[in-house]
Amino acid sequence: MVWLIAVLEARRWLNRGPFLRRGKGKRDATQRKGAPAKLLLAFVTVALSFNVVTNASRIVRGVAEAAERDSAPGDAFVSHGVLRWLDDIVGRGEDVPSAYDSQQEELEAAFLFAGRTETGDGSLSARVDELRRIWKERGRAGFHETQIDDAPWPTRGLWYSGADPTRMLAPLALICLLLSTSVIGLAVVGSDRDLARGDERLEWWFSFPVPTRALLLARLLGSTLVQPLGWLLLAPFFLVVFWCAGYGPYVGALLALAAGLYFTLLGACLRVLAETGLRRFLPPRRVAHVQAALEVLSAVPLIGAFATSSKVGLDYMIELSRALSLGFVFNPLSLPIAWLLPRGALAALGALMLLAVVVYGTVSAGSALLRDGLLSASEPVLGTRARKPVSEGAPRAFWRQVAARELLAMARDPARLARVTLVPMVTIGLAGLSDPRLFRGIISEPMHASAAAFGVGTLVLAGGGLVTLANEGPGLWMLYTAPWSLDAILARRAALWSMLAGAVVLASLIALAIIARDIRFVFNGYAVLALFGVGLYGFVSVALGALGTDVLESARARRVQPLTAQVFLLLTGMFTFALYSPSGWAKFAQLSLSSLFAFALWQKLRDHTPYFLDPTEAPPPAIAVSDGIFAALSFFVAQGLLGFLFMRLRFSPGLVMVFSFSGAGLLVAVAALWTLHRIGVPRLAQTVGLASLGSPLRTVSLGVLAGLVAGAGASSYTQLVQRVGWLRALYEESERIDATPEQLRWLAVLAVIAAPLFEELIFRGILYRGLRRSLDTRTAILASAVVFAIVHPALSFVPVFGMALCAATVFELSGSLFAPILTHMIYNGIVLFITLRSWT
Amino acid sequence: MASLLEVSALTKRFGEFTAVDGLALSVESGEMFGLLGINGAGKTTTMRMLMGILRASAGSARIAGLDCFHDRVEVKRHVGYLPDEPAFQDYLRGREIVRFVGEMHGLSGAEIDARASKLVEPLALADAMDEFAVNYSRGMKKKLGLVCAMLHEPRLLILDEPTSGLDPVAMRRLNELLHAYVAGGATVLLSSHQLDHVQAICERIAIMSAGKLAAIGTLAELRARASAESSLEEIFFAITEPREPVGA
Repeated sequence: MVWLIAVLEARRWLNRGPFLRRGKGKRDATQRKGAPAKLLLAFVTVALSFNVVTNASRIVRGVAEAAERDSAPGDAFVSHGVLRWLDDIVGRGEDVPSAYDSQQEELEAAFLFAGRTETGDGSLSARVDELRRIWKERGRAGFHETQIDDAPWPTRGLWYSGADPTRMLAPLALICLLLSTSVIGLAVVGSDRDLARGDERLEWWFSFPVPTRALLLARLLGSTLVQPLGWLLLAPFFLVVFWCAGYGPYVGALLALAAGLYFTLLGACLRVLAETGLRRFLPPRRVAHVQAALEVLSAVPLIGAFATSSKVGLDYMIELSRALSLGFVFNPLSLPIAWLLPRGALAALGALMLLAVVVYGTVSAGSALLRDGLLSASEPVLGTRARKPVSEGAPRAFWRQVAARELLAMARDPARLARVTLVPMVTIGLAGLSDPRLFRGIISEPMHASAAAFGVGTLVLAGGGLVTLANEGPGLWMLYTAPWSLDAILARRAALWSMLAGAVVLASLIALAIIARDIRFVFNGYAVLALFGVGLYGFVSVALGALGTDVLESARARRVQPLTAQVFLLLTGMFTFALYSPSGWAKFAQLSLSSLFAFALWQKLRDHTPYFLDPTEAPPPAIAVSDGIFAALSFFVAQGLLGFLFMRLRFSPGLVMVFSFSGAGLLVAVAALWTLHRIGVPRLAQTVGLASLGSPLRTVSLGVLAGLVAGAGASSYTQLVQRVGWLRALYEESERIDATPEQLRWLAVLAVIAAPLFEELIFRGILYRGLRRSLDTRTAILASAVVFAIVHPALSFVPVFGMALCAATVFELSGSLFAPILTHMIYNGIVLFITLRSWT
Repeated sequence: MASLLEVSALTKRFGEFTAVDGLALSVESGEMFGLLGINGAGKTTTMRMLMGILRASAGSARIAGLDCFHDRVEVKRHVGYLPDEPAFQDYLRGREIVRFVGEMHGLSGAEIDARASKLVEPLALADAMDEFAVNYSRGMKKKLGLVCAMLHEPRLLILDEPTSGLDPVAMRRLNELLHAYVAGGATVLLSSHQLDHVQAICERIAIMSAGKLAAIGTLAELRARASAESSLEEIFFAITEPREPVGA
């Protein structure tokens, strides 16, 4: 019975991923729309384990190096190669102080090399200074060969087995304590259910003719098996530790499994006690508060543990562990580390006994708590409070009502409120604590301050806007009964979250300005950029979160695809590039591309909102902005790859240029058209303008006329460049092609034939059509021209922008892609002619 | 004049399973129309298509001349909907939910309070309005959903099993409310498993079976298919289980 229920629990968990699902449902009726990213999830699982293994190896190595240093304080441990280098210098028969003067260059190189081979991000110059000092004071005698390998993988060589085992074990025990505390804490609270609401399955199980103790045992087993964080984080960590400590990979894996089992079982016991005990002694509202508080508290040690992947964080942890005695290793939350002591078997026996006692205690306490049966399901989950009748007032604007509802629901949900307010603060605070230099860096310059404030803002968005649709849950049907489209409602919510995050950014900047005593932290271009950024990303968060939400999923925590938050934070990271990019031009380009991306996401959202509650229907296929972005990106990537390939094949530079450009263009054009055809875009050839010439005379004359206008614009622009100082400087900075006549011929082919063909298909046929679907003609022309111009060099922005305006206009007017191709050909021909003439 | 609700050849497939298969029916203004059928007959799917929540795989459904999917925003101005299992967002009180629904329909606070009290009082929900809706029992959730559906006084009420979970007192009050509502010129389309209830209040009845329309008409017209004396229950069994002779 116990086994049956545990297996059911594990099966239920496994069924969440289709790639793990066993067997096939008899009826295919509820086959759902394709859920993306499931395979990606498997990939991330593997990548995460890999990451834990390499990080744990780094931690073990760092601890071993520190232990080795402690064995001979004041001396330096360097690699075999460096030592031979030093021996060589000494071997030339000079005494040490004079050797420093005569061999300074060589020594500095050796020290620099030694400093660099050490792990991580500690200050290199400080380390070099230290090595220099040791050489001056103690000479060759101050240097020893390190016994620690520098492998990035677990090996026996990463362990330092010097005299005192505390030196190795105490820091590891401390890190283990952080990891296990958070894993156990999250096992208790971070589940997919509200603790306050209890588990409906428990109620179901109580209907079986089984004693309470067996039910609780089954629950324990099920919760033990289903603890992804425990198995993905703790088990690989212990695998590395045991492997390096000399048990090898196989015994190490067994011991790691045992350690993982130890902690997941402890977590499961606490979970079961919390489930049964908290609800018995506390009103449900309080239970919700306790759960929210525990969730935030469990995140704190986890962040601490992650901080040890940086050298500064690890050194800090090692420093802390110096104050600990060997007895610390025996604390229950680090106990598996004690298995490494000479009498480790005793510690293992202790762990086993402790587990037995805890499991027995949990089952006994649980059955005592449940002696009166489960709490009745009708127990109120939330408190009630008498309220004054709602005052009569003027009708509130629709969007204020949407905002009021969102804020009210958040304010009353302790877990959500904590995620939006506390988690960003705790994260930033801890990052500052674990590395004080970081904080000093932030208040050293407005640019860093703005980037940090933007980071806080995005964390608010990740806790708020990203989950706004998921929080709607089964109540989403209500929004479908209102005479508003769901995307209109979501747009207002996005605006709300943009404003909230903007307020948080502003508050952070003001706080930093007060700390730095410099009002310029608030009033500068970077601050404006950060505010614009959170405004934009408020919309990105809502769109991305909504698209990544499975509203038909009943469990709240599983409604959002696990990768959504990571993707969102990755995208905000890209925006941070805009803050740090060197020139105004690069910033403008980053901003434009970010905005285009936000627009593409929002267009996708608008396409999908009517189908959210329909398990099988998807929006009708159409060309989207995202298709254009994807085609353009593929075009650039394919050019690079093909260029590399042709260069390896020893083609002449001119041919490489033409072949890679045309090859990439052809590849992307065929792939894009084939994909759009396969997804079933109706009237594809007409839409991208390849179906007909339209009226041939009109198409040709429009194309030629627009090409001449754009060419004339480019010609006047070159005159302007010669006259305006800063433009001229930009011109002279820009690279001049030193081309042979053969290359020039190919360049002409490229500019006049290949570029117009492929670029027009991608930027007009696909991207402009995607934009035009959601924008009016004028705005779509403008937007597509900006995008086309920013993927060109800064100097040519103005004329290319003009050409793109002309090309999009004639495309819209003629409906045929041949018109803009002609325009582009004539424009490029004129520009090529002007350029060549200016060189001769 | 066209009917208020016009459904023709309406079909909904989920993969290979066809939930609604070529359904055709029309409901006139001022009618109280009952939709019957065993579990899985396609009643809820039909109603969800009428609300624009699901898109029809084929065929069309129009309310007041508007397409239920393509004009879904405009359709909502004319329709009120009570789902089979109304669920409400966490952490909101009954009063706040009603207020939200009213304001989404552009009603002022005073209007909302006035209209809500006319619905809340007869349904005996007044005491629970300041309670969080997640604490409600099934019947209370149904009542709250009903208040939300009727608040903006729509021309057509679509009620998916309005009586399930209701106590006998509430059921009687519901009947009175619906009768008064229809008397005012509005239309009600409801599904139910309580055949005597449908027999008592509906003028016309459609019976669905395996996604198809098995019978439609007034009670008298349906009786013509069985025997003159048979109850709706007997007719229902005769139509949904044709192999079993009526009255056997």
